[in-house]
Amino acid sequence: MGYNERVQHVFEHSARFCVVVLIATVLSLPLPTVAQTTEPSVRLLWEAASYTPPLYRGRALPSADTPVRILADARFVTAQGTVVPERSITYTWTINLRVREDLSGVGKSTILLNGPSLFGALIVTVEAWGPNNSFYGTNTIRIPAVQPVLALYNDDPILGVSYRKAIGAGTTLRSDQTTLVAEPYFFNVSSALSPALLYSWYVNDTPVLADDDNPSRITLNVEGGKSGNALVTLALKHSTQQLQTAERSWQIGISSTAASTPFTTQ
Amino acid sequence: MDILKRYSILIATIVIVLIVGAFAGWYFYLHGQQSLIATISNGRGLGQEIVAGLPIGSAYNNVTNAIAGLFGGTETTATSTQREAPRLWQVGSAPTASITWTTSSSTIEARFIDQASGNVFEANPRTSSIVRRTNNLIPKVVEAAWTGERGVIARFIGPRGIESFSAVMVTKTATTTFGATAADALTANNPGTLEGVTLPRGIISIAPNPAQKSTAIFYLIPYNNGIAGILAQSNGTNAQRIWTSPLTGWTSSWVGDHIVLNQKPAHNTTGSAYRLSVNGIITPLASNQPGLFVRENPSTGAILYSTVGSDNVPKLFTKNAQGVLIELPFRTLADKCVWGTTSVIYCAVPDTLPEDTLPDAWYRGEVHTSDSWWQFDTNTRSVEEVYDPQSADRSLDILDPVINADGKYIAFIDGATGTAWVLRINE
Repeated sequence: MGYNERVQHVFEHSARFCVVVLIATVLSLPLPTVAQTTEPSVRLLWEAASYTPPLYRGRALPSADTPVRILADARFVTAQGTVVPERSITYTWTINLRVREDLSGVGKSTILLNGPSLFGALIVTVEAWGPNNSFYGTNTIRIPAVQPVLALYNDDPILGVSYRKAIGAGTTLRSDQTTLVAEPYFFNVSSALSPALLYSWYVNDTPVLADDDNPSRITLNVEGGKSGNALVTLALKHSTQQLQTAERSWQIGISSTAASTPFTTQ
Repeated sequence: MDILKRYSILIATIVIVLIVGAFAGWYFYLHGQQSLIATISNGRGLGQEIVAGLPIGSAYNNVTNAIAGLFGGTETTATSTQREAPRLWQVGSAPTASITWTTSSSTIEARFIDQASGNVFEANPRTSSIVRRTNNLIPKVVEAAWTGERGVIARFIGPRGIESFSAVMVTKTATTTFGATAADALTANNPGTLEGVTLPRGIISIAPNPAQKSTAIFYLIPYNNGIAGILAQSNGTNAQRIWTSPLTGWTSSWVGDHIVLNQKPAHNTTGSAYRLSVNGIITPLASNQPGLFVRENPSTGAILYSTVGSDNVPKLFTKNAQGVLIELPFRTLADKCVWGTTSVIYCAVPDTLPEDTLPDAWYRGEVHTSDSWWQFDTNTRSVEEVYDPQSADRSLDILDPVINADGKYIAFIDGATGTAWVLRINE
């Protein structure tokens, strides 16, 4: 290989590298906030197989290594106005710039992926072809890993769990006995009571035992006539996925309805 | 002798009159006391019946009744109060699972279900009256859907998942001396009962057909590692699967002759929404937008949608059937908006936006906003403030607004307290 060829070779590789870096940089930028008016011919829909409480109105998001299910909705309409059936569309999936032949093929509109790594993201591109390459569409999405979220709710014996109002800073509860329920949003489990979740509760930095049957909740008893603040802390980790951990503390005021040192636990 | 006999008759007559009078007085006294006790008991929610087939007990009844009777208006018979409610009216101080408007064309009544007891009430903003419609105890109702003229689907979280009790408010019947039965009118002193069936466990979302006479419902239920959309009657019969998806995170609402499916939104995460016909034909409504949530106008087909991108500022847009896109000058979520009867959109706009990620933190109940009501006319593009609850020293986090048939009232729930409210739109 002559000097000029080597220079050309280096330039070609450098150019390719720059293009890859440029694409990766663009895709890692935050999503645009300006509304788009055009509808893509291929929509990418996704959700994580992570835990959210029943009737939660928001999306299940992926904490590190939580599986993600992705659906490509390719909508090709013929000149006669008929929609090309999904089973006759060929899909090619590219994950983090690597074409995945094992996931691609005719009618393969849905894939299940291992989730993004901690602080990482999945960059997913799908290309869709109609029969005989008569149609083509593509779309790309970025799915970042999120930190699991712990939220705490009051489980009222009459009203039930108050999902509309989480316990926050300055929350005061008026009861002789208060049951608190933690919800482990976005952990890789199907239930808050999954044995894979290890709950460690503390009240004023003292470890307390949770309910054996339901470790996601603790009950605080206020000794007669007393009131005050308690620092409730929950540390939660996944037994097999070490990167899935969360810890949060809540300063809670509780006053006895009978109106001393408050807070014993059951 | 005659005098003695005459005096004896007179004394006997007086004694008889006194005895009869005493009995009459005693009767009327007791009757009055019973009426008073009945009135007070009804006001406090006593005398409720246990619904058959639900895991509930009478001890619970005693506790929940004390809670269920906390109202902002007067729980009364419909005729006793005729004073118009204040423009912003708190119809209940106890948490409410859901509020809607009755479909009757002759009256304007907000119908709501008490979270603690599952009792159904109706509030009339023209008379300030609040009437109990049902007595059955269904504890810890977390949400409800309203079907037909007298139906309700009460949803609660049981030990094995989400349960949905689909019921109809039934009037009591009385047997006449001739053996015929006559239905009593539902009144405060004569509430009906909820009679119904339990729908399949685990329903994720329920959308009743809003047509007055219809009892059709659409619901989403887990199916084959994904989800299925089922069309059925509210009593669970005639169930047919019309749609499936490998994704489970959807919400549904029935708009006109079709269903709107929203992929569950999240902060800075693209979402999609679709129209689903009752024949199972699905067409895209909007997509590729971060934090997308769509509400469709039932009469025009125009859509209102909100997006939330990386700047955490919600933006609102409308798109009409011709595709004309307008950005509204409000920074709020479409969840807090409702279409008026014409081209007008009413939105509850937070006075200040929380720093926590929207809409996620709001859905988790971790943040609450203090909202003002605004309106936007999509034809004239005019903007007007409707009402600021802070003028009445109220801070309200508006949730699930619904407008009544003639567009004069909006009923909603305050997310911070769970209480039900009614706003008269025009002064």
